[in-house]
Amino acid sequence: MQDESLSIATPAPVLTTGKQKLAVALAGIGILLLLIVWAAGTAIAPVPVFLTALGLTSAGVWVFVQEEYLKYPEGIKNNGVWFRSLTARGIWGWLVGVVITGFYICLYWWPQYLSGLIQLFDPLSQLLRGTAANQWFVYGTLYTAAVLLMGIKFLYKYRSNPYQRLRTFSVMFFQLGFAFLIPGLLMRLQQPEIYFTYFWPLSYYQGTPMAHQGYAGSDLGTFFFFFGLAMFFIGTPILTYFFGKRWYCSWVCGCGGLAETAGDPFRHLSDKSLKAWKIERWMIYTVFVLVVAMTVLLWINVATNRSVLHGFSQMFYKSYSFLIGSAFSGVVGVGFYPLLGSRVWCRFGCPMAAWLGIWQKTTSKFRITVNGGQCISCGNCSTFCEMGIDVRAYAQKGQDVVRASCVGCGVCSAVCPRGVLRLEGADGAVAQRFPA
Amino acid sequence: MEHGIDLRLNTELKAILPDNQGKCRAVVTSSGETIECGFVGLTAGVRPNIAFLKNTALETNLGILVNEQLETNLPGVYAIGDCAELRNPPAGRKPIEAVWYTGRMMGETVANTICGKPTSYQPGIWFNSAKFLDIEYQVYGEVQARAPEHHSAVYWEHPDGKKSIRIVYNSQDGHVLGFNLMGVRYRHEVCDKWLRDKTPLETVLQNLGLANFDPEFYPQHEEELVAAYNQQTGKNLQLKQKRGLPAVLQFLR
Repeated sequence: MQDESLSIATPAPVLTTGKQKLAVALAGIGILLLLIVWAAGTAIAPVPVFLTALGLTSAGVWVFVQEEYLKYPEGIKNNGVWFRSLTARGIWGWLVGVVITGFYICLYWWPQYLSGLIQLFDPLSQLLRGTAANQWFVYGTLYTAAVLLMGIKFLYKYRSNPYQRLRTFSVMFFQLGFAFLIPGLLMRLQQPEIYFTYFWPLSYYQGTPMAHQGYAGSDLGTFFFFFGLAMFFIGTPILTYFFGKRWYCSWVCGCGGLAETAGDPFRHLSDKSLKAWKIERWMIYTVFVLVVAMTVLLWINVATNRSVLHGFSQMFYKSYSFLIGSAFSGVVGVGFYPLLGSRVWCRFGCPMAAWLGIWQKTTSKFRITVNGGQCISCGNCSTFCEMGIDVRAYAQKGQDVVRASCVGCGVCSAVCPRGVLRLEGADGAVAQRFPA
Repeated sequence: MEHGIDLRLNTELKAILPDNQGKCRAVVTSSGETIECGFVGLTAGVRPNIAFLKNTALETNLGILVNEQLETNLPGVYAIGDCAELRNPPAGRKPIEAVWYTGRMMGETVANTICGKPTSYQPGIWFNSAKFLDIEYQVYGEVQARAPEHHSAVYWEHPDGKKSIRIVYNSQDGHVLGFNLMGVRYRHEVCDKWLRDKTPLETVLQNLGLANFDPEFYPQHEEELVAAYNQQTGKNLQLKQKRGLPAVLQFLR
């Protein structure tokens, strides 16, 4: 192939070593085992197959990480992200997108096609929860495995950066503990299956009369119902005032946890255009209004004993659940990682992010400051912003980044070659106090 | 050999040896070492590449000569960036400064002028930054390779050899002259103010946290630098100010 680049360095780097191909083969066989069980619709010898699939995938990730990062000195390497098929919307990217999308479609609407996987995960469910597996247990386990395995990859990639290390330990901890082990153990103890890190309105069911009734008779459930409301009305404004929305979106939330770990290889695919920003604002606040309206109508319906709204609010709930809860947050939100980037749901849909964003934009101390006049316009910050913020436009002007969407992942600051960006908190902007 | 680069410090190139076809076969260093090679890359600084302008009406020296408004001897013709040579550089500055930031500031200056707001080039206190082989580097003010008379320095280096802080000060009256940082980020506005105000070194050391621009949870090395100063001078200075934006805003106000 003729080298058409004017640069001295080759524009087509060698992307994978022999060992990495072996690693991909190992992980590939592990994932293939799961796909076979999925297709077969029945699991033979679930325990050995499950352990083999998990073991091979973990080994593959580990060998890949060794070759990709540990062979080199610390320092963040994003080499070849625009050349690799998987991370540059190539054929592998599309293939992975289609498989994940297909999985989500089965998960939400045709769980009978997951019966093989459900059987495969049953022994683990019995062990943890003392009850049979269902599609949600399969999902939760795969989700947690993805956060942990890709979290390890992330930790090695960003090992030079204490902020990234701590943040990633945090999302791994909350996913494993609060979104996997604790709900499972609660089921074993005959308690409601509670995910303490998901509140209304992200978890839209949690604010409804159905949730309130469902928890009746359980002290823990009733506590969680009011805890969730308190987090929405009191916790969120206070925590966001001090830390920005990152206290939730990139340190605690499970959706954020998956985006930050499994989604990290795709973060550069987010759309940075002004048009995307406009669409983002319309969409996210629309979803927020919808979830509030839906919840209010459900409560009115209960208060009026169905005499006014009849079946309308229930129909509203079902539509929201189908369109937003399943199709948007799951199918598009995760299935389209390799095509639209890792934060599509967080950016365009999540009503919790909308609520956090309103507080971040209007009252929070949180901001990303720019170091004097030192931006060289390289664009790394914008490229690797998973929320599609054109960080460079702020950096060039020496302007604080105060944006409703910023989840405070800190990657812009980490990849800046001149150390120009810093996540911090104070009332008032540096640029206003000290014009350059 | 980290990053695949084998360095020879404090060593210069003495000769390039040819093979029988006149191509390079080895280099000899000032320490007498012969290193076999097939390729020599010489990167000893930059200079304006203006040979093609030599026989034009433009006045040139090492670079294209420009006045305070970056205008050449031809009215309405401006030169900026690596090729421009200031006839009267500001105090302490060189006539040619071929770095990104001066280029950008010159661009802003000329943009103002040609848009109808005649503006003189005022680069302020010297600064530069870069990142080489995963190590970030920043400089503010005067930090010269060969320290002139009355230039002294406090220096701290991390045991891993990848972080260092050097603060240069005037040994006669004690005010700070420059900051040089490897693997540590300092805040531009704070260092700039200290340098412009000719702040005494000890004031700077006591408030050094104001300058720290490293991300949250990064270790702060200011106390170690103060300790290095105490060891050097026998004094007992204490660090009063840690990293944090609210204090910085107070300071800059």
